[in-house]
Formats: sequence, structure tokens, C-alpha cells
Amino acid sequence: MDRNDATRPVTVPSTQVLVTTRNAQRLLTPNATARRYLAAFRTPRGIVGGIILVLLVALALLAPVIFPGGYDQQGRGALAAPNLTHLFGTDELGRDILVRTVYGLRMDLSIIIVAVPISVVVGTALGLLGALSHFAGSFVQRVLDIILGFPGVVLGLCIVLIIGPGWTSLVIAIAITGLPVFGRQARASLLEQEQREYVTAARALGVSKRTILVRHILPNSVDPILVNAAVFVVAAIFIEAGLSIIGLGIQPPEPSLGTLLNVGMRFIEQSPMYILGPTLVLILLSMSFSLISDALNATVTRK
Amino acid sequence: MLKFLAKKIPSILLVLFATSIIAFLLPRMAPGDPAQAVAGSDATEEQVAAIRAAMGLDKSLFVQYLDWLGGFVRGDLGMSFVYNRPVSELILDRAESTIELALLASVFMIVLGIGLGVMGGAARSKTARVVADSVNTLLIAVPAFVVGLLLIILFGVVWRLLPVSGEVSLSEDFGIGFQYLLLPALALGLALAPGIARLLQTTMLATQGEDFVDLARAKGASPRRLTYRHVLRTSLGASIVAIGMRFGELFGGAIIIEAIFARNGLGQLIVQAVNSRDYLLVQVLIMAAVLIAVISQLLTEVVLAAMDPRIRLED
Amino acid sequence: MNTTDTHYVARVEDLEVTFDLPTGPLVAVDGVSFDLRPGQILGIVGESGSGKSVTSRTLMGMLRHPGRVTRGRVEVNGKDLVSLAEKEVRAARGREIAMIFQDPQAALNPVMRVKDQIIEAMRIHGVERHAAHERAIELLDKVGIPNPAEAAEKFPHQFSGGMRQRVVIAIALANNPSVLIADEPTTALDVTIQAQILDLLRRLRDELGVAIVFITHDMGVVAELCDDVIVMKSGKVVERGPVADVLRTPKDPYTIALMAAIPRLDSPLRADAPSVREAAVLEVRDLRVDLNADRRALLRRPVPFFAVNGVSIAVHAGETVSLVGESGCGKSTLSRTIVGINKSASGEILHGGRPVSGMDSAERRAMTRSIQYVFQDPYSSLNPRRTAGQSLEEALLVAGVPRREIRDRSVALLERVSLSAEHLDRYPYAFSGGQRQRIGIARALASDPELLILDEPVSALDVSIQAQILDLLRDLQKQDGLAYLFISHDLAVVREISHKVAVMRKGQIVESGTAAEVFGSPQHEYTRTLLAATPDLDKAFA
Repeated sequence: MDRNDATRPVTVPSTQVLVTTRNAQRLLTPNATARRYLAAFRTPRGIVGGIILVLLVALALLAPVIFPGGYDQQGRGALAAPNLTHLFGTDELGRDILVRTVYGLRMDLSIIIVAVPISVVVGTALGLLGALSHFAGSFVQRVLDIILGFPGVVLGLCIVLIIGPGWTSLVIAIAITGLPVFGRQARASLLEQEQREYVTAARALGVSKRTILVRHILPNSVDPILVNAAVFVVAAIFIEAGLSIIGLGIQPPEPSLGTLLNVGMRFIEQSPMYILGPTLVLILLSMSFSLISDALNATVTRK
Repeated sequence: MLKFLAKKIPSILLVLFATSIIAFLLPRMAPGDPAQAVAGSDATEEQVAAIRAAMGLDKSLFVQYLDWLGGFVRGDLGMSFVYNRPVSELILDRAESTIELALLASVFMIVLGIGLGVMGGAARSKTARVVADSVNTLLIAVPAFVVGLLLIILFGVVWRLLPVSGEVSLSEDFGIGFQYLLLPALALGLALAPGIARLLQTTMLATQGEDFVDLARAKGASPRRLTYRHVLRTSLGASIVAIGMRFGELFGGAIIIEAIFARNGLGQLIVQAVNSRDYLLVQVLIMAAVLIAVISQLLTEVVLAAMDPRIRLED
Repeated sequence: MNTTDTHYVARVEDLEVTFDLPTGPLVAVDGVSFDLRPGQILGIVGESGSGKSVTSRTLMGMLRHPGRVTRGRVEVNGKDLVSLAEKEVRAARGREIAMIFQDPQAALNPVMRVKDQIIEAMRIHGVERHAAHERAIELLDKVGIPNPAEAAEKFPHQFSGGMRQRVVIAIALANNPSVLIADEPTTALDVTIQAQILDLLRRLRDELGVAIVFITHDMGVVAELCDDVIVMKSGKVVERGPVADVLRTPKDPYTIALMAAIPRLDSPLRADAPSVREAAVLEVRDLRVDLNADRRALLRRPVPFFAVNGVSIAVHAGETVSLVGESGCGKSTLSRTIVGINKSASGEILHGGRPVSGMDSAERRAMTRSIQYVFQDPYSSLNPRRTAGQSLEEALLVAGVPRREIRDRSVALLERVSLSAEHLDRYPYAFSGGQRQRIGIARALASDPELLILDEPVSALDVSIQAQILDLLRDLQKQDGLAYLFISHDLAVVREISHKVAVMRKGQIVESGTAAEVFGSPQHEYTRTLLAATPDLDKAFA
């Protein structure tokens, strides 16, 4: 037997492993991280979701340019059905619903872009505390369990009770609602990683706990965090819309997707088309994130 | 099995205890003086002080908390100062409406969720899988209240088939009551079903590759038998967890659905309570909401444990 | 003497199986032919990637997507499964041809009672319920499960590994198949249990006349059990014949090399034991480790479970001390305690004569550098997202090597294990199992240790690679005077590499001594059982 066999690089084709030893692990292919995430956007869902999101964000960012008059331009012709001048119709004060919807989209995005990253970072940090101190980890999980016991809207109500309705309460409500999601996810990742042999190997080498956390555990936990983040954005959108639709979210005259639904609801008999525009945009927004999370889930998470 | 339950009790009690403190403190952190609000803007100092004493707000926080907790355990939930009626009465009044809604919505949620999940996970017919997947993807992006609004437009405005506002309780008149209940329950169920369906689908597809499914295949089992007796049976566990977790969301969603369909349930009650700073009412309702979520979680775990012989027989 | 019986129970003729991969078609089975007579036990031997498992699955008609049969016939009892409709293949599956799997725990449905799983096999083929129930209990008895009526009501998790495999066999035999395919059925079992299962299969063949196709990578098992054997490599059959012929006088170069790489129980022992001069590099005295100590229960203190229960062992520079035992004996717990992953409950660990408990943090760190660990599974002991160079860098940094020297030192380490600088920037997925294990060894050598603890370092590798790694370890030991604590369940491997041997069972050392003593004149009954159960090539010639 050629003694140098093992030194010639033998790329074991993935099927051989798949096909032969049933219990062999599927081969992991860690290309540069960025390349993997970009691959998600080449799948059909990624493409559709990505395009929709890009369009919506562009629309929201360019709103002051496209609609320089702002969201409060009142006029005659209230509650008109969609027509050529007003694509989504007009509201009870004669304002163009399309304009208000775009500004509402802008409002929603502003809430998400602040609340979700806060939730992700703080939640994950809390969840990973267990790597440094066993006790702290368990304690944090207890606290997160308590938060989890509050259904999302109820938590929002509590915050509104103290601070009053508005942008800040929505951001805080969303951020807190997300903490258990990311905290638990991070902890689950942590517990799973700690079982892996390369973590044990690092411990045996004498590597410090903090370095193990940063170098080994965190990079391998990022994938599920991102997928969850995309999914949570959808939940965040629903929380804003939900609280606003019962009047405890963004207050008029500022529009958000939820407040538009709130008012539209009141006029549903006379002007059923009122809510269609905001509904469409709301669905498109949540759909885009949902599709992106699907695409990420399929391409990025590995066993 | 009993050991299993016994282990769960301490953490549940802890959660409930912590929640009671939060529920207690929350309304008191809000700005404004409730005694003033009740007395009215042109009340005198003495009148406000008298009302404050009547509400028990002059005692120390700690004493107030104990009073409340004690009453809660005894069943005396206190008095709502805005409605001037006992809290328990208010709750019982509205409870039926919310429970009806929750029950029917659960039925829809479970049936649709599992149905779509099996369709997507059975991997038998590619078209079935694609259809189920598309339906799921669409539904998951639509919140319950939007489904509700769309249903209202469709069945209440465009085709006037069903009533969309108000309610009649099932105990009064089942037929008419059901008509009022159908759309709101459907909206809730449709919104929560795709989460369950997705999870079931993923679990089933993953289970297809397991060794014991292979062994069953080696026995000569038909694909149908494989799917239902082996894959589905072991995958149901995950969906039970998903269902259990959604009970809490069910009540959260009910709050908004009740607003949209103008139903007079507990959800509406809590919104009004928050709006009017009705302390005691808010406290009790928050406790109730958490209690429901916690109990449903516990029940879920019990059902899961009962289904898994590894835990059931561990004694 | 076999009568020349031309009635074949199974025939494979010029079988070709292709997998349609995104990277192109892969031919996994390339023109394989063999016959199977009633009551014959045919071994199919090959290393990973040889196509042996694909062949067996094709016999069952259970080829995994995206594989398909592109040429050839597979006849079972005269019917060509390749040309039959799926429904008819299903009718034959489980009735004329049956399969037993490698991992009995994964193969049994965890939420179905054992009796139901056996009954199902019969109900699918039309047996009436009551009759099926009776036969299920009969079968459990036949495969040697005590109290079959009671056992039938139990769930799989209530059985031990060996018993579970017997249940799997019972399921397979439910409809009296003519052919039984056994795909590595004993690989996941302890050696003593393996011996029992092999006995069982032999007995079943004698009593029922069922033909068995036994797939394995272990020549020793083939020697013990099979009548004939075919050797597969890269999808082709390279050698075939009666077991005694192939094993004694192999003709194909691959088979010859394979036979040469197999560690044997009659191979010469190591003659290069160093004379012991100074204090042991590592000594363990009367160590006890309680695995339940870390579990925090709310009310009661948990019952202690001593996975290591009073173990004493010593390793000196330049020598290899092996720790042998079956699963659950505590050998892994012991090794992990020595490197500090688990805490000891009582007893002493001494490094160079100095007890660990008396050390300050600086001395403890020095000890960590001096005693390093090599893991079993080369697939999971390296972080898949870090290159080989990064894994080595981490080890070197902890060992205190200054940053500017790291690259040179990494290359030097790779060269010591017969790799080179070009491997530094590759990720684990690009390496073979043997190469990954070499990197694991290189990582362990980063801190210039005195002792390496090797926990089953070759168990996950193919036999030919195994031999290379053992050679490497011997060379390193000679060059640097390294001490090894070598942990394994494989007696033949242990025999090749050890100077001293300690046999461990249920947390205690039941026998220890030089390799010559333990292998030549075993004192303890357990040692003797282990030796007898180890499949040995000589048995084929008996």
C-alpha cells in the first residue's frame, strides 16, 4: 500500500459519504460567509423577496422626493374610490391614500430598523451569557421565560400603559417581545455547540472561555440568528399594525400601516377600497421578509 | 410521569409570582393619579383623598400588593372603579365571547395547520407539496386582523352573507351566534395555521430520512403506511408544541379581532381598561393572560410526555 | 462439503448503479456480479466508498435518490427486481428478502411497542393479526430474547444495544425470507455483544437455512462468520472466493495491501519498551469521578455515579500504555478528567511526580501544555469554519508561541505529520479522514507535550489509513520520546501499539501488565472473554 496515500489530497466526494456510511456527517462547506448568504438570494424565494424589499425600501426612502407635499395634504373629494389621480383613493379628509401609505411604510420601516437589531443583539448576548457563567445563563433564561409568558399584544399594552402610545412604545414593545426569541435561540445554539468536539478540544488546550465563545461558538451560531431575525421582522410588523389598529400605536395624523387600517376599518361599509392599498403594502412587506427568511433557512443553515 | 410534572411546578410558580409583581407594578408606573381621574377634575382635595382611601391607594405598596394577592387567591378580584362593578363580574360577562372565539379558532387552526402540514410533508405528490407550500407562504405573511378585514369585505360588504359586526352568544341562539362567530374565528385560525403547518412539514420531511422509516420500508410497507403510521406519528410531537405555543397568541390575537368585529369580549375589556387606567382590571387581566399562556404550555408538555413512551414510563 | 446446488436464491449480474449528482454522474457500482445459494453466508468487504452498501440496497430495491440502476439484473428467487413494478418489489421486500441495519437504536420506531413492529412486518404481507402476534413472540424467543411475551410489550428504549439488534433481526425474519442482508450490523456494538450476534446469525442460518449477505469493513468478522467473500473497491469486485482462500492467499494487490494493514492478534509485540528511569510523566492514583456531581437537583442530592471507581495507572516517557474496555467502562471519562474537563471526586493525579491538587495556576497551565489530547472523530474535532492553519494557530497561541513565529511553527508541525504548508489554508471538508486526524495530532503537538492522550484515534478510520496513523504515532514516539495513553476498544490495534495494557470494566481496572503478559496469559475472566470475542483472522483457517 502506498504509504503516501494519505498525504495526497483526496477530496472525498460528498455522495460517497452520503452513500456509504449512513452515520457519517454530511460534509460542511464553509465558503466565505458572505458568499453563502448571497447564495440565498439566487433562489427563487430569495429573488422575489429581495426584489420586493428593495422596491419597498426605495419607495420609502424616496417618499419625500416623490411626494414632497407630505402626508397631510387635505383636499376635497373625501373617501373616493381608487382612480387615476389617486391610485389608492382618498381618505376621510381628502388625503391621497397612496401617499399616506408610502409614508406609513416609511414609519414602519423606521420602527423595524431600530427595534429588531436591538432585540437581536441584546437577546443574543443574554442568551450567550451562559457560556461565561452557568448561573447567569440560567437566571437570564428564567427572566426570558417570564417575558415569553406575555402574548405579544399584551406586552405592547403594558408598555403603552406606562409610556403612552407612540413610536417609542412600539420600539420598546417590539424589542422586548423579541428578547426571549433570540435569547432562547442563542442558548440552544450554545448548548449544542458545547457538545461539539472541537469546543472540548479547545477547552482541553486551555483556551479561555471568552475566546471559545467569540471564536468558536458565536460564528457557528450566527446562521440561525439571522433566519430568526428575518422571521421576527414579520412579527414586528404585525405588532405595530396590531397595536395601531386598536388605536394604541402610532397616533394620527401621522400614518403607519396599522393606523391606516384603523381608520379604514371605520369606513369599511362606505369605502371598502380604503384599506386595500395599505393592506397590499403590508402584505408585500411581510411577505418579502418571510421569503427572505425561507431562502436563508434553505441555503445557510447547516447541521 | 408524576416526577416529570413535579419538576415543572417550581418554575411555573416562579413565573406566576414574577408576573403578579409585574402586573401589580405596571399600572402604578403609569403617569397620572387614578384617584384624581375617578374623582373628576373639579373635585376638592378632601374628595380626592377620600376616594384614594376607598381605593386603598393610601397604603404602602407592599401592603397593597399583599391585599391584592390575597384577594386574588380567595377569588375576590376587587372592584373596577371605572365601571363601578366587581372585576369578577365584568370578566364573567365577557368571558363567554372570548372563549367561544378561542375554541372555534383553535379548531380551525389545528385542522388547517395539520392538514396543510401533512399535504406539504407527505412528499408523495409534488403538486400537493407546492400548493401547500404556497398557501403557507402566503398566509404566514398576513396577520389575523388583515385576514379579518378581508373576510369582512368579502363576506360582509361585497357579498352580504354573514354579519361582520357585533355578536350573539352561542348559548342564547346557536345558529345565529355561530354566524357571528364564523368569520372572526376563521380569521384567527387562518392566521395561526401556517406556522403549525410549516413546522409539521419540516419535521415530516426530516423524519423521512430516518433509519426507522427505512426499516419500515424494508418490511415492504406502502408509501401510505410509511407516511401516516411512521412519519406522521413521530412528527406530531413537534406540531403539538407549536399548537401549544400558539394558544397564548390566540388570546393576543383575539384582542384585535374582537376590536375589528366589534365583539364584546375580554380583549375589548383589556383595551378599555388600559385606555381608562382601570388599575385592578388591568392587573387581573394581565395575570389571566399569562396564566393561560403558562397553563397551555404546561398542558402541551404533558401531552408531549404522554405521547413519548420514553418519558411516560420513567418512574 | 457443499453439494453443487445450482438453485440460486439470489443472483446479481453485471450490476451498474449511477448517481445523478449536480456535479455529474457518479458510478457507485460498476459491473458487480455474484451468486447466493440457500444457506450460504456471503461477506462483502470494502472500505468507505467501495459501493458495498449501495449494492445491498439495490438488492432490496431501496436505492436512495438520485441513484438508479443503469445496467444489469438483480434476481431474488428467480424474479428480476430491476424490471418489476414498484408494487411487486414491495411485495418481495420483507417477505423474500429482508434487511438488518447498522444502528439498532435508530432503526426501531421509538414510539411503537416491539411486538407491534414485528407484527407490522407480517401484516403488510397479509398475515392475520392473531397469528402474527403469536409468531412475534416465537420470533423473539428464537433470536434469544429472554421472557419473550413480556419483552414484546416493551418499547425499544427499554432494551440494551445487543437486544435491540436481536429485535431488528426478529423483524427481518418475520416472513421467513430466503435472503437476509446484514449491513454492518455489528459495527455499532461492543465486541462481546458482536460475538453474540454473530453466533446468533450462524445459528439462524443453520436452523432456518436463510442465506445471508454480510456487509462489513472488518475482515476479522468475515473470517469468523462467512463462507465466501467478495472484496469491493471503487464499485468493482476485485477478488472473490471461499474465505479461507481469499484471506490466506489473496491475489489482487488491493486485497493483499488490505490484509497487510489489518492488525492481528498474532502479530509481533513491540520490542522497544524504554527502561523506566524517572518518575512517571503521568500517574493516576485511586481516582474516582462522579458524573452526577454537576447535576443540580432542586431538592435532593443526586445519587453519585462513579464512572471511574478507583483507578490507578502510570505512563512513563517513551512508552505506550493502552487502556482497553467496552463502551461505558469509563475510559473516556478517565481521560477527560486527566485533562481537566471533568472534576475528580477523590484520588490523585500526578504530573512528573507532583500532585495536581497542590499546583498553582502557572504549574497547572504548564501541565495542560504538557499533556495533550487527540480525539476520536476527525470529522468533528476540528471546527469546520476554521482552516487547518487557524486551528493550529489557536493551539500555538495558547502554548505561548509569539505571533511572528506561528506560521513557521505551523508548517513545521504539519511536516512532522507528513503534511505540508499547502494544507494550512484548507478547510476540514477538503481533507480525508486520515489527513484530518493528522491535523488533530499536529494540533496536539503544538505545545511540545510530554504525553498524548489518544481517545480511540483510529476507530473512525478505514483499515488502511488506520495502519498509516499507527505508524506515524510509533515514529513520533521514537523521535521525541513521547508518552502515550492510548484508549481503545479494539484489542488487535492495542496489541500492535502498546508496551503496557490495562483492561477496564465498569470504572475499574481488572487487569494490567505488559502487552506480553496480558495477551499471552490473561488472568482475569473478563480479559479472556474479550480476547475470545475479538474476531480473529485465524478462525477462518480453523
